[in-house]
Amino acid sequence: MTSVTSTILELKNLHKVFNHDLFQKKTIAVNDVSCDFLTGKCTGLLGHNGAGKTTAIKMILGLIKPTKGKVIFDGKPLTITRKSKIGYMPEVNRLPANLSCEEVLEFHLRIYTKLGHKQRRDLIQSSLEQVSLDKVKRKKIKELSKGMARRLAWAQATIHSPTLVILDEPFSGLDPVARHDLLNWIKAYKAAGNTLILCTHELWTVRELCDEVHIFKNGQLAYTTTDRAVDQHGIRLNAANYHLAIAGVDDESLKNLLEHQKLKPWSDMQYKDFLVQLHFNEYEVAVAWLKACVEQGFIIVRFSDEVSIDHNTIYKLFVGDS
Amino acid sequence: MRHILAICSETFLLLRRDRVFVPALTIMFLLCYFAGVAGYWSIETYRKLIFDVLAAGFHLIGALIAIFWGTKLVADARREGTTELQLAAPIKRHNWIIGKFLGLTFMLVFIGMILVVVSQGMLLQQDVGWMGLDEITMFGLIVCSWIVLASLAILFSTIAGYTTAMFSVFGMWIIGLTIRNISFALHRDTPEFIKTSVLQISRAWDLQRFNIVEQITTQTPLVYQDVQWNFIYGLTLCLILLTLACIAINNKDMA
Repeated sequence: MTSVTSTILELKNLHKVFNHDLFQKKTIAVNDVSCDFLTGKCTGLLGHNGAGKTTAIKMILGLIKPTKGKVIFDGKPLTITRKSKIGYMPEVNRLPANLSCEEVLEFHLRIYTKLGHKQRRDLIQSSLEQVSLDKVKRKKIKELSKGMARRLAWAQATIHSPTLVILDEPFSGLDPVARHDLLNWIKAYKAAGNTLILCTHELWTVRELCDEVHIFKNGQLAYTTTDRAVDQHGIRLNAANYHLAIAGVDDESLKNLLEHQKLKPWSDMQYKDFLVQLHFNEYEVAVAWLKACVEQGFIIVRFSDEVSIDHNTIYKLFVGDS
Repeated sequence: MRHILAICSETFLLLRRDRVFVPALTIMFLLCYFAGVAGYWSIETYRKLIFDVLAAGFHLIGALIAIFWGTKLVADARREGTTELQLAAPIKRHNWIIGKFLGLTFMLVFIGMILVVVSQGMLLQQDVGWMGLDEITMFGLIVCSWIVLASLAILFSTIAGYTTAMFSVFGMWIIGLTIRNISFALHRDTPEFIKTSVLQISRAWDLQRFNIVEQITTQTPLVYQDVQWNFIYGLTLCLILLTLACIAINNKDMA
């Protein structure tokens, strides 16, 4: 349940045109995409192959320069030094094959942090223990199984304690046990208040992990769940529930307010101790009630939203598009 | 600086474990042995033969390694995707290139030093005696030419793909070795603008500046001021090529 949610990352009118060579047509990979990523939430980037998800992620990471638009991280444009607060787990194993597990993390920490040798050693040891790779820490990457390499990629993405972790298809090619482990680590990292961006095709990962979803189609942002107040193209992606808790007021006063202010009714009402809790399904109705209660001088204890994404709608949109 | 050192040491370690490292050293050891054997072909000019074979082999194998690794470090890493992960880190792209270059440079110097030691062993075994400053300078200049080729390979691999970059550097290597002789050998009827352009290219890109084996074999005393200028020429080339590589990678999308 959140009452106020800040934005950690904003994409503002992001646009990318690729010129592959002189004689080829220009390809618009990302077309005027603007969206937010909320602090402490896991946001899924959904879309078919070539929808523009990976290009958008690479623009966030500074690997691709946007033709137009900006990436705002924590309220300021994303610079190279501020990238130290971001972790990245790429889709396939991108780790240097001839380095051992501990060497990979050692070089990673030397770039991301200013920690001393001993601190780095300790951190690497605990991180490898966490992903159960401490017994193979001297093994080279090329000798690891795919599951082990993904574990190491997760350790590398999170060892410097980033506030935002970008995961590109983290579960691809993993067996059920490795999936289960990785899923639990991601959930634990999210529960610690960190923000995650999950780029995926697999809808079960969205169901398990995501609080918000951005759906890309042909380089554009087709649907987003962060835009809660409005239906998008006649489709509501959120199963929303807004709560208004008022102190020391009887239901008679509320019924009077309903009649005189011509407000739409609440979907549910509950009494808890000396509080009255009103529940609404629509944001606009909840806000109109909040305004009316404030005008009446009622004591507002809490106004909050409990929004979950409607997975059935997401599934229909995603599969229906193919 | 912290970032450059991290990339440099990582690159050095990766190159030391590269599949080319051990075969390259083995071939160079065999070359030293072959140079020793070649000394038996002549009694009067055995010293010349040994140094000719050593210098030619050193230059050839070292240049091939420098080109291969220089290209591999950037273009091949881009193809494999390791570049993507490294450049997603809070590191400036030009620092990444400089780190890679320094790692490769240290490795080439390291290989050069091993070879000088092994060559010295062979020379002692052949009763040629200890190498003097002139002979060490000759090997130093050869290593300098490897570093120039490595920086050229890094530049080309930031612009083009692996194969294109490698063949382009091979082309430039051959041009660099032959252009001076071509400019001397042009027929007198050659149009003036061709003569001028060949001369200008030979001034800008002349790898024969790093070849002083004739002075060593004829035991002509080296003019160290000229040698110094040759080192400065190599350093300047490296700086120019690296600057261009940095500009190229700063404007490149890692798609």
